Amino acid sequence: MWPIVKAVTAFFDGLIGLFGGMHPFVGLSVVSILTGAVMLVVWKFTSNQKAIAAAKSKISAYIYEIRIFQEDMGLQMAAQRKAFLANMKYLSLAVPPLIVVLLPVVAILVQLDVRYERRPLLPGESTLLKVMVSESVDPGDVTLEVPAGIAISALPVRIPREHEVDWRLRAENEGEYDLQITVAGETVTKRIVVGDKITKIAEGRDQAGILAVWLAPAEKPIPKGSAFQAISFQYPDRDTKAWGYSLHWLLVFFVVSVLFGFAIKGVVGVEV
Amino acid sequence: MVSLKIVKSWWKPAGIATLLTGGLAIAMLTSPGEAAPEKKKMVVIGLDGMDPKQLREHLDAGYMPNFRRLIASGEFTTLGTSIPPQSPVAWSNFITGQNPGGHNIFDFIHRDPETYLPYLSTSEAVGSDKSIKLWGDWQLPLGGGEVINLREGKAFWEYLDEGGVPTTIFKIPANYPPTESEARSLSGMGTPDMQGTPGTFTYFTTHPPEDADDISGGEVIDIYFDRGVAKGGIPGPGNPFSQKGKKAECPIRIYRDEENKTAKIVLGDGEEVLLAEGEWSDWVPVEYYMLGEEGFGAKVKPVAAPMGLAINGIARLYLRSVSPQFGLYVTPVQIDPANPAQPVSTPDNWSVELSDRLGRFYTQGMPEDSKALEGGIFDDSEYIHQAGMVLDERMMLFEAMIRDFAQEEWGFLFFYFSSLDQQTHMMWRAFDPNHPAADEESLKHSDVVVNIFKRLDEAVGVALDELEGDATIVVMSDHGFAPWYREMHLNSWLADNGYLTLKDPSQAARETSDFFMNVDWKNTRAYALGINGLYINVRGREKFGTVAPGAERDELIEELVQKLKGIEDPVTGMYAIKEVYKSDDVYSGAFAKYAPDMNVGYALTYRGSNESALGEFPIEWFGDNTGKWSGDHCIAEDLVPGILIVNREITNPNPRLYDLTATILEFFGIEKGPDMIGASVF
Repeated sequence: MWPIVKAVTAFFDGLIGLFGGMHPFVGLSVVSILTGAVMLVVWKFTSNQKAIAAAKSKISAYIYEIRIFQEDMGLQMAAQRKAFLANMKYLSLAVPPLIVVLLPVVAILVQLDVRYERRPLLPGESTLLKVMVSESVDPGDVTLEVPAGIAISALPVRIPREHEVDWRLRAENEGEYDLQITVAGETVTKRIVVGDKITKIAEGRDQAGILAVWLAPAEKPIPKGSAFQAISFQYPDRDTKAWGYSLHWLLVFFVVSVLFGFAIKGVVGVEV
Repeated sequence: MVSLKIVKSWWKPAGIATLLTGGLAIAMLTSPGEAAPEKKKMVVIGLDGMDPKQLREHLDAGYMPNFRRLIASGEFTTLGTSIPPQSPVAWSNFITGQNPGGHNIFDFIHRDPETYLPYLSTSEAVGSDKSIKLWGDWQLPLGGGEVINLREGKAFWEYLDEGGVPTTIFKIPANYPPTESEARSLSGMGTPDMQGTPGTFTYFTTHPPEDADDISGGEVIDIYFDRGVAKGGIPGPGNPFSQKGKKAECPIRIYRDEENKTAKIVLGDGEEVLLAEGEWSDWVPVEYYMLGEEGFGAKVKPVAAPMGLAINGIARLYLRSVSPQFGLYVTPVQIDPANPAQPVSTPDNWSVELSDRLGRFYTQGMPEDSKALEGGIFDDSEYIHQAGMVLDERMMLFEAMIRDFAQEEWGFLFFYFSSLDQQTHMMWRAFDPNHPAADEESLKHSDVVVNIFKRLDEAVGVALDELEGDATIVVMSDHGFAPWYREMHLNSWLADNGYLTLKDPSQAARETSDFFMNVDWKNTRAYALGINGLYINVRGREKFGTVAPGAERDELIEELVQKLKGIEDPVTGMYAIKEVYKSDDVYSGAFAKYAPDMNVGYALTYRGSNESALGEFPIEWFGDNTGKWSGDHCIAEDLVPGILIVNREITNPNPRLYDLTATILEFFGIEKGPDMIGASVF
């Protein structure tokens, strides 16, 4: 499964990388527009377009009926009941295509999340590296090697009862670095990114299952059976502003993709 | 809307004619010499406690090149302070352009004549008095509390604001909650911490000092480690959902590595900090859940937060020691400027903007933690380091404010520095070997105060570099400074001279009762409260008043003035009191009736004791001041004037604080308020 995740991640690296020097929302908007367009097409071929059109027509008709016969309470009630049933029918018709588009949308959201939710460290900032090991290993035996560009700014705190050892790291220079963590003859790495560019970053690396790797695509999971249970640290939240206002990337994604989808649905000839 | 109308009118000849006519009229009205506001710039740098004698010494020693540069371009004189020369009083004089009779701040503390109990003079917290009782300790409050700024009178920046002058007021004292106005302002001295106190630190330790319960301004929490882990809670504000007003707490877990001398501290839901022994953390969030663990069970947290029942503060942590004894100091939890639980700025979101741009900062009014030093939690080096961090932060904010101001076309900026005042209070004993509290350890830090002078000189340098030739630069202080060698227990003198009667005059009762609990009010004629205030127990004003208002009161005041000025310290042979100011003589304004009847102006090296200020009655009238708080200014006002330096001529030979207020308004062509008593110094 990891090679597929890796390929998908590389695709997004390439796509978003095209807009590397621009405002973070440029690349995000391009992905949102493409998502809106692709999902619209997928919707077209996975939904019962005729039935959806019929359901929408019926809803419109019943709403007209409610407006026209405002004085006739009996007709009103009947029209409202029919509009409700037509609405239920419409929603039921939307379920199959929604299920089809849900998985790729989640995968896209995860790819965006690892790029836009948090930002890399900036030179001078610190973070706390937390290494969790299995019960069979003494956390006091864990060693850490850091490359130039990253500094260990305090001796570790070893917490045997939690099977944990923590270091405080300070970012010194921009770059992407691999920390080397060793215990009982086993060495694993953890990527740490320093700089202000939009790039995929992973706070944690653990023994993820086959499906879970889709939710953590930025870094390969720790092999099963490793002495390391999890390695993690925190990146700062990314605060992206547009016109002076902080906007969460998720809001931008949904607004842009939905608006674009609605804008071209007539051109593509899709009933939504 | 206005510009749209004007654009449309351009297309109509009649409109053009109207505009031309109107423009001509405006041009005539605003011809040179008329009252149109001039677009000028003025910056006032407020240096709390800068003493003119000390400044002259440091100028002569060559430590203050930028001050010298500023003085060379204008003038340096002393600035008359307030009566009494206490910071909240003095700054209120400056803020309102009035004496205390106009702004109602007469001392750090006032008294309630109904109960004779002291209260903080500058602000009052009022809780919601309506609630629905629920089960157990729960209640549902039916309204929010509020904090009221007790300073009366109109602040000068309200006049500037009304005159359209772009104004920024940074941390001016006696301005909490910040006065409502369009000006950008950040509240200063008087701004509480999250507990609602002037500042309460927390100290987690495995080895509490014996007098831990007596430490004021801090809470010492005894912790123990179980297999390397200890738990506790950082006390927070009173919980409005608790009928008993139980304090909310932010849970804290501490993991220590005794061999590496490091510790990991986990705050609340998971903010983690790793510190080595002797290190300070950056600002970390401290979250209090009103329905949380310490109040009503941790399981409620996920529900409580979205309901808005969590409030946020920030703190910095200092790992004093890891082993054998553990000690972790937590600063008073600050109102988070990025997410303020109480407004600390106008507009409300200005503190948020500042924080976003420049990082989080101390919001507490007096952030130098003198209480931790007095309580023995900090040693001198630690206090100097903490106070230095405050100054570093303030310098960073100052440079940003000055650079912003340099970009402005016109306007007014006030910026306040507290460091010199606080460090001189605490460290006078470091450079004065004659001080009773000076010792080998304190004298190691003999350069601490002069170093603050040098840092403030750097600040003036920044202002000159950015603004010279473009702005009027005013550097001023609210008062000067003096050594405090001897403390006087004025209430003890009143008791022993028949002006105040104690219920139980025994030594044990005198030394153990406080807040005037031992006073027989029905047989008392005068009492001292606050550092300088002296009240007559006036019938009809005080609950158990014994002295008739009018002639009887006036005669008693005269008698006391004479006697007080003749009190001799048996140890030094010096008169302890230089002047006694009668309020009827020195105060004017609508609130003068609330003033103490007299203000005691102590002689040089003397000051009223803290015990006396809060209604205690030590046996002796005098004592050596052996505390860390070794310098002071609450003495006769003429002994501790402030400074005034301006890069232009000063025409007033004896300027006082309230003259500066009138100066600022006149500078911008704004008429001063009817209650203002000063005149421009230019």
